[in-house]
Amino acid sequence: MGSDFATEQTAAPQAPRRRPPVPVKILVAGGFGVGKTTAVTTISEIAPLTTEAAMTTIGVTVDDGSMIPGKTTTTVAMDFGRVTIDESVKLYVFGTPGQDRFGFMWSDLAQGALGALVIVDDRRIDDCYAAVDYFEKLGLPFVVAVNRFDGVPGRDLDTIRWALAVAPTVPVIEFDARYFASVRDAVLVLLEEALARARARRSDALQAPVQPAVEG
Amino acid sequence: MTDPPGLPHDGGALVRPFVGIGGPMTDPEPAALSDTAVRPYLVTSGRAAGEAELPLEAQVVVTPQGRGARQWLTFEYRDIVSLCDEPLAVAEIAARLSLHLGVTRVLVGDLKEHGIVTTYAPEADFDVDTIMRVINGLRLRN
Repeated sequence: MGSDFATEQTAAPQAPRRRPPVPVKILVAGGFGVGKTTAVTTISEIAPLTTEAAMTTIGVTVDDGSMIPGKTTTTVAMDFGRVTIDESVKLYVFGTPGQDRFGFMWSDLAQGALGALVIVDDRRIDDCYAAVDYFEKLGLPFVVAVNRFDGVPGRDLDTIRWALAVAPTVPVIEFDARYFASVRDAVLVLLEEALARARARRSDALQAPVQPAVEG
Repeated sequence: MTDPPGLPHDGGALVRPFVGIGGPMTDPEPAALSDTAVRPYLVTSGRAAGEAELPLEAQVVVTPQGRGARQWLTFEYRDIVSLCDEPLAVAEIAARLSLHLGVTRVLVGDLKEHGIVTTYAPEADFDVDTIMRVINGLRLRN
């Protein structure tokens, strides 16, 4: 014996501990009740988790009569799921909370995100304006995904694209939040967008060495 | 004065996100704090620092010395260390332990400061290879 086990005992002296997986984060956004939680649940390998988080919203205070625009921090529940790609990469899918009536700051969520899926219910297209605005301003790659959950033929994608007035480069697709393959494909469209961005960035900055991660 | 985003100014009257931590104890609205009996930031002694630093998805894992230290830890610290034998995201820790996300960040920050856990998260934009791996991995799923 020995030879089979020798590699185990002397395994990787230069890497005594395996690095933790790289967490890749994407967001699922959209108006209230469009299927964000359904989409997160469908794609997640674990039962979706909920955590309480503080969200800062910018709103006009109308209930005290002072009409002072200010920041309000509220506690919201946030759903998220996970897909373990392999030992070295985990995909996290965060559903953005809130109905977005007053605008919002999702900086915490969006920080470090690869991109966002903006889910649209074509009977209430305007519900997703806040999300579209936000990701446009942030320059985060996003995909508009129309949830055809009831099987009723709705507005065609060209009409929705027109109504949203998104850039021609922003993909507008349809999907069904209840089916894994459908959500997966929608996420893949987003990932391809992010990939194209990353490639463009790489060719832009061939000089600068990439420092993808920090350990501490 | 440069406050981290989302944190209240000292003495600022408008925002009280972390009610009950060192503020005047005159707040008559316990109902607003959801149904938990314990105010969320009690376990951090009111500290909310570090909130903006650690990403939600950052992976937390116990260090070898942290394993030995587990028996000396108490309450939430011990719970966190017990969960993180395998890398776990900050948000997962918060969800599993029913802790407020901001609280979890502070506690993980404490553990990190003492070398009990390490955290790992991408610092900047993802590289092409990582994204490719996610794409290929996801395509194989059914």
